[in-house]
Amino acid sequence: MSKTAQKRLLKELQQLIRDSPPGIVAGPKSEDNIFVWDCLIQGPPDTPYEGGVFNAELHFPKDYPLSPPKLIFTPSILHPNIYPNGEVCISILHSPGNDPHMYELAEERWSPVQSVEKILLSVMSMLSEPNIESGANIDACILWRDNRPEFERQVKMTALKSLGF
Amino acid sequence: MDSNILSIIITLLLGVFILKWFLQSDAHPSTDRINRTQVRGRGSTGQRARTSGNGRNEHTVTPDMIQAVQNVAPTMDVEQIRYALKQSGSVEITVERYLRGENFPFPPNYTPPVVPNGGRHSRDETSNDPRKRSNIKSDNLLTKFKININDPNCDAEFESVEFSDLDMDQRRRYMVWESRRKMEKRLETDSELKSLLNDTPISV
Repeated sequence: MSKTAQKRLLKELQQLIRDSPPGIVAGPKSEDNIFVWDCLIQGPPDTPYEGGVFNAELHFPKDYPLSPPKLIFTPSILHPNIYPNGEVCISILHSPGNDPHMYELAEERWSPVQSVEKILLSVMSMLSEPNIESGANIDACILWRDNRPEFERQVKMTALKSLGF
Repeated sequence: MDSNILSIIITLLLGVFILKWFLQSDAHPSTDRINRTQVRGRGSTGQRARTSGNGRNEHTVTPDMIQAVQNVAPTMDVEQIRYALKQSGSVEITVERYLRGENFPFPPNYTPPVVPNGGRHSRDETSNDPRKRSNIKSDNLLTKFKININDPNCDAEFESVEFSDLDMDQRRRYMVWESRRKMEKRLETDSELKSLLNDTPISV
């Protein structure tokens, strides 16, 4: 099982190196472990995250691609769909099958046809459009809904500080 | 006639005794094995702890492994992480245990530092879900990726390169450098953004 995962991850890595989507750099954190990737994600334009660069780690299970990886921002960032510890909560990272809460469609959830590239593009999309109906950080949801200027101020400050300002 | 009956009874008794002896000798070791397996199954953590407590089967732990776990579990003490990694030998297993909300013991004979109220330990106690422990903070990527933006050679390193020719580490450094320079330009025109630089520290 682990061999299958390694082969698949190597294939995805080669694809990402050959043709990486703009604003994303992702690859294994160290040469001796392909199951933990270090990712840099640029904040999408026209959002408070614009111009910022955010560091995240992808942790792949040994039965990848049958099970989805975990994506964790290190450090975490203020966003309604990112848990305070940095773990991202979006449908593509949820185990395959039907949502027990009947909220997500099965085709939105993880399946082996998804990929690292699709995950990271979904995360960029999530940064652009938070979904407060299935929030992971309640404080961020409330701030985003009730006090958008303060939410944006805090995010912009993080983006500036991450670039050494 | 009597002696025949007596010898039949003695033969039967001997037969029963021998049969019982054979059955016992067959049953005993396997029963013992089952018992031992059951005990092991029920107390697998205890057994693991004993093994590592003896100093056998301990895995080598590198600072990088500790850092990788600490990135995900910033509230954990370094000694807790080291002890967990020694037992599992794997960053993934340790991180998965953390994400499942498992408790991490300190190594034997180690006295954890006393943390004042409001510190790491008290926050752990108030939240059972590890995902709810805040790790929202700013991380200076220039420092992280060793980019000296004030070094005149810094721009020369990146200005004339083709992104697709760079290796993974160089790509990361390039992205951070490029974003920093773009942000500098943006700050020249975006007065609202610039005003944040004189703002109060982030409070989340």
